[in-house]
Amino acid sequence: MSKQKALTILRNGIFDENPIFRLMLGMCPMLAVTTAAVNGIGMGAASMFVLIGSNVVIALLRNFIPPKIRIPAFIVIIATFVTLVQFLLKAYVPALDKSLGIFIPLIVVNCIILGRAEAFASKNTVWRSFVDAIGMGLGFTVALVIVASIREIIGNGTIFDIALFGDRFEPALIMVGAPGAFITLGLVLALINHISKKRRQRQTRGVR
Amino acid sequence: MEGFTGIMLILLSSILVNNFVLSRFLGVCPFLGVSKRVETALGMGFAVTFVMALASVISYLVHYYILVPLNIEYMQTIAFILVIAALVQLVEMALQKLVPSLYKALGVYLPLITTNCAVLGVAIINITKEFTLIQTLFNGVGAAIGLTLAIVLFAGIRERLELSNVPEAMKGFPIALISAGLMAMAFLGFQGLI
Amino acid sequence: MKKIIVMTIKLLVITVVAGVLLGVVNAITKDPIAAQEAKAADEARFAAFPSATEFEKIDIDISEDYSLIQNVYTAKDASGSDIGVAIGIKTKAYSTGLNMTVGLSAQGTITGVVIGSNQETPGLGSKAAEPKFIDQFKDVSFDTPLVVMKTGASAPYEIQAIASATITSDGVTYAVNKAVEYYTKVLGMGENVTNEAIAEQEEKVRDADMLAAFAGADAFEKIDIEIPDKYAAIKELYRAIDAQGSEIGVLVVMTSKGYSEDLGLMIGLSKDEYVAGLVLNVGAETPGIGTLVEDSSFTDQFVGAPFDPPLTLVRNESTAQTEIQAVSGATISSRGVMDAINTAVGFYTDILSLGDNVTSEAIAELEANAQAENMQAAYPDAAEFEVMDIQIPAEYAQISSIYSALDAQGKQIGILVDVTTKGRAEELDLLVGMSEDGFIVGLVLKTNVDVPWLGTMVEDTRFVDQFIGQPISTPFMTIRSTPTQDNEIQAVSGATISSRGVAYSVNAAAQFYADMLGIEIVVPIATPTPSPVPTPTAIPPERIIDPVDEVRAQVFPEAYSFELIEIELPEHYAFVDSFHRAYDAWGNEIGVIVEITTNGYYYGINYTVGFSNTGVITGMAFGENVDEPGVGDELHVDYFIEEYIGLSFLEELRVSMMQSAPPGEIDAVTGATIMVVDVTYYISEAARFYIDVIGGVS
Repeated sequence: MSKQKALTILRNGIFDENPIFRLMLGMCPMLAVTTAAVNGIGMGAASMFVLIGSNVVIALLRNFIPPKIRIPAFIVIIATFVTLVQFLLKAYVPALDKSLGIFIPLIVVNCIILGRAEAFASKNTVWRSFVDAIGMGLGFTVALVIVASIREIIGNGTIFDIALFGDRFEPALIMVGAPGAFITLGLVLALINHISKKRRQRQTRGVR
Repeated sequence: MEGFTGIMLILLSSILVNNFVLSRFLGVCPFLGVSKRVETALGMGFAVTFVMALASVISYLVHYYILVPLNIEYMQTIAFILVIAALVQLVEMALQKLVPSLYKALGVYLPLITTNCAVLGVAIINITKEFTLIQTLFNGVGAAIGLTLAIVLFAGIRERLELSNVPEAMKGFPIALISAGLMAMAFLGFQGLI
Repeated sequence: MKKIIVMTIKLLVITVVAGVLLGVVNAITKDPIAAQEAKAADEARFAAFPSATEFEKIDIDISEDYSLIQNVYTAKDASGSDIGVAIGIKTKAYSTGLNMTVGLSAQGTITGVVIGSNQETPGLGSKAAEPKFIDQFKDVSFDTPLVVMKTGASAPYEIQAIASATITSDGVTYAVNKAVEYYTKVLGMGENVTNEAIAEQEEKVRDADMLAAFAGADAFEKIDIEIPDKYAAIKELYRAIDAQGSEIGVLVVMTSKGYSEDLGLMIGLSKDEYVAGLVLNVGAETPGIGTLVEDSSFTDQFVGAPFDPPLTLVRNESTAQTEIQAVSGATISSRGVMDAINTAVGFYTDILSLGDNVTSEAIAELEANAQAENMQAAYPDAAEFEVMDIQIPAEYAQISSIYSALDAQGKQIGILVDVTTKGRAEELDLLVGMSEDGFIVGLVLKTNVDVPWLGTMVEDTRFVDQFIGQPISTPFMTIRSTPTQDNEIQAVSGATISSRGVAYSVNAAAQFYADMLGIEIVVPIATPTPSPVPTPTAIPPERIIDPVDEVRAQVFPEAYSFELIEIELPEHYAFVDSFHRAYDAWGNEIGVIVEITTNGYYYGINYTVGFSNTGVITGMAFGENVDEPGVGDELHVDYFIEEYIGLSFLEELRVSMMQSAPPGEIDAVTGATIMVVDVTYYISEAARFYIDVIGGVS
């Protein structure tokens, strides 16, 4: 294992191994919750909380948990943090609880969290796992907000609930609906692919 | 809504009107991941259906006979996910012994069923909607059928996509997602059904 | 082995720690969560009842009928006086237990409805919370129960369902009605709503009814006896006591079957063997029918009627105290009331042994007599009847019994068949007499066919007589116009379906007997479509159209006048606004006009179509588009409408998506395809109704 500086780990989570755009994990909440930018932030924050909690605890216990039962153990730990988040939201931010709905408990099965637990936290120090959680969490949130913003702007004419276009704008409701989710994500992914391809081409050309 | 009509409505809703994948976004990972070939998709579908039906029933029992009497409903998330994990473990072992070919084909996707929003999602939905045991069973089955339907249809589309001329940037996930979006649009048409 | 134990323990440890942690957090956040939920609930209450300044919870005992109600709060205004209630009620809409709050003012209006924790996944049911739907309830007076309509809600108590969330709409409306019911019936709306008040209110209502049901009684004492199954409709019994304290009779509280709902009755029976009073509490769900029966001119007939002989129902003037004139158009409900009284009397005399054991036997005898009378009427020439012991084949399942008709010498001259079939809304029971040489000698309808709102009886002898004397070898066919062939039976106007049912039964009986006798059934060769009544060659008079009929005239150029068809449309045809008959200059019926409002893609489209009785569309015109002015203007285009004119509607109309439609298909208008499909679909449906039910298309 090479020595990775904290900053590198952070950047990794946001760009190189962005959970949504690169690793293709966490699709369910991405599609469901990104109907409004504020939801994107809410879900991102909640997921990040769980991610940090579980990464840290799992890293702490990584020598205590026998490998054979690591998956159930991880699940219990993750589920505990998810339930914690549920409590906190219900008690202090009920509006978010309402708008995110069933996807809060579903954070438990967010592949990102289990994925990171398996791929990183169980093999790294607490500090590194913590940073990784933040990186991944940020990456997830950024991805969510990007897609959510697009959907909200076109589908509702607002961004973070601020009206952008005035009364005569006819929002394309389909964008906030199911089809809009798939299509927006698909187009964003295509764009990202395109950009990275161009980048790679420029790099290789630069070398020559 | 009681009786037979209630059940039919539940089935109709979970399979078509509120299709788990195309309408509720539950089960998107297997939907996007597994479905490159129709045969694999079908196999996955059967496994999921079995797990979802069983998970629905067992989680119902756990909720109403363990969590509620002990006043620990907040343990729902943990309890359910453990039940599901155990169930999938069982299914894995059973498949390995009984249908090894399918086991091999599904490979890594089998554990995917555990971390699958659809299974946990349907268990939670059953409780939220206060279904009876029978309704729970049918909702679980319906959801799984809807999921399988979506996956199989999608697999068919993707088989075709493999052979089409897709622009470089769109290849793979992007075009798959857009196709899924069009499918979701089509399924929107079922909204007037109920 | 040890490894497994260690693993299990470790897993257990983790789980237990997790559980404990969560338990702690749960305890900490329990109160804030409860506070949040209370706040949300309060918010909901204020939203449901804007003019209230505070709410006070009422401690109520919810009976099973109102199990959906979660809580009740009195709404108070700034001065502290009661101005209504806010009721928290749950509804089992198909998909979820929706929590709602309903605000009801003491003045009798709904102040608002709020959908609380909407546990729907975003999409379908959450539409219920949208103002477009929920605002319909605001300021609606609740003296009429609310009704959900799929299209065309106009009256304030009509609620337009949300497209694609009909069941949720139904559930919400049902809950609102239930809340209103609770407020008005149990809490005695507007009065001091305490527990005592509730009980008192209920007492008062009952007391008033009981006194009205037994003139002369002053007090009632409950009788605690076991009621035999035979009288299971009786729910409660009281001794009636007069002002001097002596027992003067009994009060019976019972239920009976009305037309579509259960009638609740209180019957006072005097120990001097007459009916002392009658009060009806009709729990009608469909306003209209049952309430006719509550009219005192009907119920008054019972008061003073002696116990013996049992009451009978007549349609015309009654000539005896025990003959009860049925309420016109509510025969079945009337019969329900009468039956209840006969039952109560039977119970009083039988069980409570007052007077002779008359009623139950007398009723049985009466029924037997009636049957004998009917049988005779169905086979006048027979001297007696003997039950025939033969196996009825499965395909003749509607035949319930067969009798052989014997002449005075005891020789069989024919048979009598008892057959049942489905009429429009009830079972028709008939007796068909058929002679051995293969003719129908008599037909008697045992059931009083009650066609609600039309009141026409199929018992009319003119209808029944058409069958008599006909050979059994030719199956009968009901038609609406004057018959031209022997096997054509003219249906009773307004009771087409029942008429058809009768013909169908007679056919079954005839076929059965023909089989038995070995007579061959001859189906007449399909007669060619008779041409419409030829218009006289005389010059038609000037076509003067009533301005009210302007659109209809446009749509049916040959028609001179129109007449609204009063008909109850099944729910499937809710999109039809009206059917009008179209008449030519000489008063011949030449077709119908149908006015339709569709549930279009986002809005309703209103249009009028003319159907000729030769099976072609005569014309079409579009009215205002219901919600969205402007859209659908494509449809006004002439060349679109022209496609329909002259098309036959005898088969389903088809819309073609191709660039140019083949002949006979409708070319979908680009950009308005769904509208075109809708419009065409409803035309086909209306046409079907015209052909099947209204009839008149040859």
